[in-house]
Amino acid sequence: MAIPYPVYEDDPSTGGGGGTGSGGGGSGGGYVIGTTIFQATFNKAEANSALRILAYASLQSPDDLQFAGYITIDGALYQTGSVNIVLDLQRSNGSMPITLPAFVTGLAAGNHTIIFSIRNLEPDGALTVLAGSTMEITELKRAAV
Amino acid sequence: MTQSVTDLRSAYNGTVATVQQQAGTLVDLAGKATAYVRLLADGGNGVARLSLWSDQFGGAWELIGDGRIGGNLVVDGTITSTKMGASSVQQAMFLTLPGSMSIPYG
Repeated sequence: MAIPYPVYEDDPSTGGGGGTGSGGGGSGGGYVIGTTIFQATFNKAEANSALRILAYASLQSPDDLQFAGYITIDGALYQTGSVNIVLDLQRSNGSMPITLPAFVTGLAAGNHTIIFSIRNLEPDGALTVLAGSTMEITELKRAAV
Repeated sequence: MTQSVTDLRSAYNGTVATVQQQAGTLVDLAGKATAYVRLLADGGNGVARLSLWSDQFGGAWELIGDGRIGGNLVVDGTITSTKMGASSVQQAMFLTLPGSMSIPYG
């Protein structure tokens, strides 16, 4: 099932910090979900099957590791994960891999737009998503669920 | 021992079609019993065959040829196959980032 978009206390774009939640630049009703890493149109063959989504990214920051990842299907949020690791140097060169999984039932048969996105919350520089990062989308039919 | 065999055969200009129905029962001197039925159809381009047999080891059947089950199939044991038909259990899509991406703050 879809989940609500999270609210971060210090981020007006998410409705936190007393802001208006106006956002901008993202999708999901004004909620900022950052930069699209992968976007796929998946043709689901059966209504009673499940979708398993695994999104993997290897990330490098010039300093701290502060970001959030999102998996959305047709604009609804199905998985999110946030990282807030502040390192002790001014140019710490933080790096880490992340994997976001989503297991989704109840989606109708037909085409669905699946997006894996990452929002960089580190003001000291751009976050790099390394080549080779992957996303797997698998429809598990009833024989396999 | 009893056995029955029925053969049907048609032929024209070198082309042959055959049907064979065969059934038998056997009890040997050691008291071991065997029973079998075999149906075979051969139109010259692939044999279809159904065999049933039962002996001291149990019962078994074998189907040769393409088949279709119009209703449900209940299997109490394990299904063993070298492969399943494409997309019959799952379908998958894989995406890989070909080059690095830079995500600005915000």
